[in-house]
Amino acid sequence: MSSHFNYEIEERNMRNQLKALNMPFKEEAWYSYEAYAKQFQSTHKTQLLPNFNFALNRTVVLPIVFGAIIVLFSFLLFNFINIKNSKTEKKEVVEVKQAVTPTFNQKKEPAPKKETTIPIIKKEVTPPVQNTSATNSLAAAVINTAAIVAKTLPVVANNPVAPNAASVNATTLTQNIQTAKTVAVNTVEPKKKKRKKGQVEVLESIATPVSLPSLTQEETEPELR
Amino acid sequence: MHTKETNALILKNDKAAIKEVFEMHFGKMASIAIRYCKNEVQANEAINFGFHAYITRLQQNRNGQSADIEKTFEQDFIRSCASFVKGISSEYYVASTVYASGSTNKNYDLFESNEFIDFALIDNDVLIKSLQQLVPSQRLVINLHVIDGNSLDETANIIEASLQTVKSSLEKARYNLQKNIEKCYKTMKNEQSL
Repeated sequence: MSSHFNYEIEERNMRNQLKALNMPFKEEAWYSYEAYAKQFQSTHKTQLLPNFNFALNRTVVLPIVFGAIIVLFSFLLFNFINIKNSKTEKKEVVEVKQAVTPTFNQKKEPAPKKETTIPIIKKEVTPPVQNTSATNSLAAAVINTAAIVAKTLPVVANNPVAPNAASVNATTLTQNIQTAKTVAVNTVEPKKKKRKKGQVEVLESIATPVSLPSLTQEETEPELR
Repeated sequence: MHTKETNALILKNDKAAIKEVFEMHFGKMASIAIRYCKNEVQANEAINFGFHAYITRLQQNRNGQSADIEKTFEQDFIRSCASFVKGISSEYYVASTVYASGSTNKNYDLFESNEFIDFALIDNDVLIKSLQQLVPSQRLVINLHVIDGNSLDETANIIEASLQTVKSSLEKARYNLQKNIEKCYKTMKNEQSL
């Protein structure tokens, strides 16, 4: 805009002139409006149900919403955590044991099938059992010796010289008996393990004939020439 | 002003009643829309937009406040026209285009511009045409403030712009309007001479 510009328009006249302006009605304008209004008719018909406007403040709505969230969250946590007394838990455990025992019996039912195999195992395992009996026999021998000593004790008791020695022998014997028992116990357990691990194979042996063919004095050896 | 019966029919979406109201208000609506828009086609669109907004307002108001709506019809229509023009944002960029070829109709006659133009007696057609040639933002400001009598604050509120923007665009609008009127008169004279 130049600084020499003079605004010459009389705005009051212009305003009155334009305000007084009135256009004649055109039928085309109505048709164009009808076409325009049809675009919005479909949206107007869809509102069949009356609109319910409930005036609820934020101060009312927000606490209700937060309260509902807290209650839902606490309910969710309550589902995960069981708050119960220990007594009731014990009762439950007892009940569970009773309930479980029949299941074991049911499982043991198919066991009789194995019973057929068990006697065979016993026969196979007999040699280690004999070993245990040997260890037991050792203990038994010790016990027997202790019994013999015990029988001789009255004789020793009559001798006033060696009562202490007899008592000492008795104590040593009892100790020996205890050690023998412990040995017997210790020796038996690993052998039981061996039974489980290794199955001893019994090889069939052919009975040798009593009269083997051998050279007699009557038969002479053919001379080699 | 239409009767209560027509109001009841408008609520029922009766076409005859709506047409009656449309006929009643068309003159005023057209005179407002033609100076707010750049041409007649856009003015018809603005009429449809503004009148539909008026009808929906009547249909939503079931409490018998149609008399108040009738009173504020002109002001409401002006506001809806302004929002319609403001909504066409593409118009703002078209006005500021610069053609690479430039204008071919250059006049170097020094005495031609010295012709006296009486601005107090301007034809309606010239006035409307010169208004339509303005940039939309300037057209809105001059229509709202100068012709429709809104204050600068109200105008700024309707346009959703700052007061300073409204003032500057009003100054430019006044200058451009005068130049447009001069130009229109010249073209009219040239047409008459031919």
